[in-house]
Amino acid sequence: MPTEKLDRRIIGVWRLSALVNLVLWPLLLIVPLALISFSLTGSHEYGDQQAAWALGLMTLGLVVGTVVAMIICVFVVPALRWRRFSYQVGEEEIDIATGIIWHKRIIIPLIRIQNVDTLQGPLLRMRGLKRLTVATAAGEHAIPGLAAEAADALRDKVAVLARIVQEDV
Amino acid sequence: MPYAAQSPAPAREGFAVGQGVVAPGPHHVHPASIFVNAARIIPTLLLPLVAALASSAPAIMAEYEVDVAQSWPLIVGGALLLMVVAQSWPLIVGGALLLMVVLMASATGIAFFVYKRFTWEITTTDVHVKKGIIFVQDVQVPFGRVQAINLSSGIADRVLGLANVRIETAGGAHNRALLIPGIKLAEAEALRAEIYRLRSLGAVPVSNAGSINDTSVNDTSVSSHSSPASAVLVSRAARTNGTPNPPPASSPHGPSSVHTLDTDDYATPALRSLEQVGELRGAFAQSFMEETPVSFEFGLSVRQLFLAAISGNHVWMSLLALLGLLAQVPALLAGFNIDLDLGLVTNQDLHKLDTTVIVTVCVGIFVIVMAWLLLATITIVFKLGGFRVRRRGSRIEVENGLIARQSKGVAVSRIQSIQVRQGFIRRFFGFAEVQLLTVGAQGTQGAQPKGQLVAVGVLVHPLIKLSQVDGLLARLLPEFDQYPCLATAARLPRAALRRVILRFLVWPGLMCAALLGAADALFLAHVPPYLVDPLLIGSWILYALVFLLAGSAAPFWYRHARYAWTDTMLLISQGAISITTCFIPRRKIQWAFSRQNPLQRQAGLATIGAVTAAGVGATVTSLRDLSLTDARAFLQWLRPHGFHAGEQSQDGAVLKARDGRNMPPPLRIDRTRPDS
Repeated sequence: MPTEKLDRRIIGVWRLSALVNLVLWPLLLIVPLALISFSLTGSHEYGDQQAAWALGLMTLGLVVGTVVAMIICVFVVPALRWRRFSYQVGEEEIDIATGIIWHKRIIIPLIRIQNVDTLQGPLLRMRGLKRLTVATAAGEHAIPGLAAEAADALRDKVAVLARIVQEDV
Repeated sequence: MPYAAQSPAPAREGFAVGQGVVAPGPHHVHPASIFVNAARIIPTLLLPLVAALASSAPAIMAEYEVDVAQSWPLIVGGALLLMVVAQSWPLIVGGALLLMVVLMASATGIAFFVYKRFTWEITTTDVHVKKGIIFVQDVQVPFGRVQAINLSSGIADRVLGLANVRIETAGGAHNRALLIPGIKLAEAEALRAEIYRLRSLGAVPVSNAGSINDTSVNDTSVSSHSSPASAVLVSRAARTNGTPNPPPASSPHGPSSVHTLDTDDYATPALRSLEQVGELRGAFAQSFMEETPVSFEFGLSVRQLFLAAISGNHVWMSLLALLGLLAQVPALLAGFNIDLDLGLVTNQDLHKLDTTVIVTVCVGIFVIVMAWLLLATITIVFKLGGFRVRRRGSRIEVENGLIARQSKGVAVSRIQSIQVRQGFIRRFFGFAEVQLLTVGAQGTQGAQPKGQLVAVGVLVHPLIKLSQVDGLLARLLPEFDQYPCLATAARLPRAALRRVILRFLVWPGLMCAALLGAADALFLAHVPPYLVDPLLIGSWILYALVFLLAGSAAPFWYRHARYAWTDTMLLISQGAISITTCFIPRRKIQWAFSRQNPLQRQAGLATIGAVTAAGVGATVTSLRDLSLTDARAFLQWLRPHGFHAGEQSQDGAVLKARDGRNMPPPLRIDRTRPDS
């Protein structure tokens, strides 16, 4: 198995981004539904009352679902994901092991790498991390959370290796 | 290997080509590009405003009960009148002007930050771009991986004398091109020329493919370069700066048709330019085409053509249709009488439907199916008539068609994998068709209009005895030596069979359940009570039939799933009704994976996959439910230097490769199974 681990701080980034996603998007659905159902409760018509109940239940379901998803995605998944992700940049290949339920192992020979880049979004910058991406002619692979200097060093290393490693078989 | 000494890439001195000069160090793009970019940003900024207006307009109109279709002249006229008469027009015009100024200022501001954060640089070894305000990105593209460099300028760019440089790397949809927006045209041209020059010096590849005059099998490991050689060449390139080499003679067309994806296959730059000539296939290429001898050629005999035409998939499809018709006939004949007796059919005209009408209809359908069958057969004959395949130099040419003649050429270096397909009928006679899969590009291949995908498969034999496939491939593609043998390839372990059956049953099962459930819920209430039981029984029989079919296909799949690899080639074969065998050269595999779901983990099985650049984007060839040991051995096999200490194959057999390195063992045949 590959030996290197990601920077532990990436767990916080994953938590935060999951939190943002799970608060923002469901709110867009929950707030209007709640408002509509609330406005309908004022009506005295029987059909409206029924609709208000149905909408209210839906809203409640959404809230409960969101909370459950939040508990899973914010408190459980990031740590597991970190534990399951390991990588290694060998002299001639990159080796990645990942996946919580579906365990996946990926080998990318350095000779196949087309370009290497690092990316730093706002959340990653807050924690001083970077995301390293290697692109082959058939898709990209990412090592998502590395300390900024480590990421730059690794990028340079991979770029150099990708240049000089020649086909051997 | 002195990796540490290589990193980071050494800085280079400036160089000059033509009028343009590309100085060392990180550059910003031309400041004038700020305005070009700002002009591009404004519409994006306007979009939310327009969207807000557009979405609120219907609400306003509904509020005042305005009918748009009838009163739109009134609205427009009224608005104009309001502006002039109510004398609020200075306010409105002023507001509009203010809005424009704010928009332009903010767009320029954004464009300025984009400009400020964007730097590009070419080092001795790669193109290096840093960019992004919120998402900061840092991209390195080694020269060797550059596929094409395109310059473009819009109207605004041209007025300012600017050009946008697009540096493209391999890999179709997945790989983003690197864009350097808005540098001086002369500088852009110099940059392009310099990257090409450095690339041709740096990327001297290992000879793998047959050279142009010698298509015999090359021993690949003998001619392999030691790694630092190219680095030396690169630094030599750096030293010769100031005395720029002219770009290669064929540069207007050449670069876009060089496939860096395959650089390791080209023997020399000279060969590479010949390859470009071949790609172009114009009048210029004619002499090249004639000079290069044909090393292998074959066509179809009349008998083969005939057999190919009558054994296509259309035959068994139409047979299936006819069988379905046959099954309907008794039901039709019987059904009408019963239904009429029960008084279900109220239309009195139906009583006139006697057996002759039904027979006529059936005969009609039969005739139509037969006509279609005949037509499809004739189409195949016309399409495959005059089928010829030639191996000429480093290209394979395929010609076919009796009436509309078609000629396809494919460079051997572009071939990503070889597919041998055994169709449903052909399989039983031991026949297969052979196809070469190549990289699909988006409209880069001359005649194809932009945006259209180039066909990604080339049929090189429509009907060949399975036993002759090896011989054909060995003569058509001698550079892919060491084909694994299908007959002796490894089979899935016994534990896989249970999973295969399960997998084949799960989806049909779910589908059937869903369909039956829906039918019950929707129709059962409307059906007369005496028909409920027959319908239910019928649907359960259908359910059972589907299950039986799916379940019986599973053992077939299990029996035909095979995998094997040699030093240079991977074989994966699978399929229940028609069987597809893929031969993938090891050096065309871009990356590979193994995967385990929880159930597989329990059974000690894993899925493997090899990903090539075939098609557009990528093609994944995977096989499920190998033993975990073999899946690990497969990943080990893909590593450039094969066998590392620490991860041993199960049987521990270590073979010595030609150059003495340890290689993973070629897959053994499992003879312990009773049924193999």
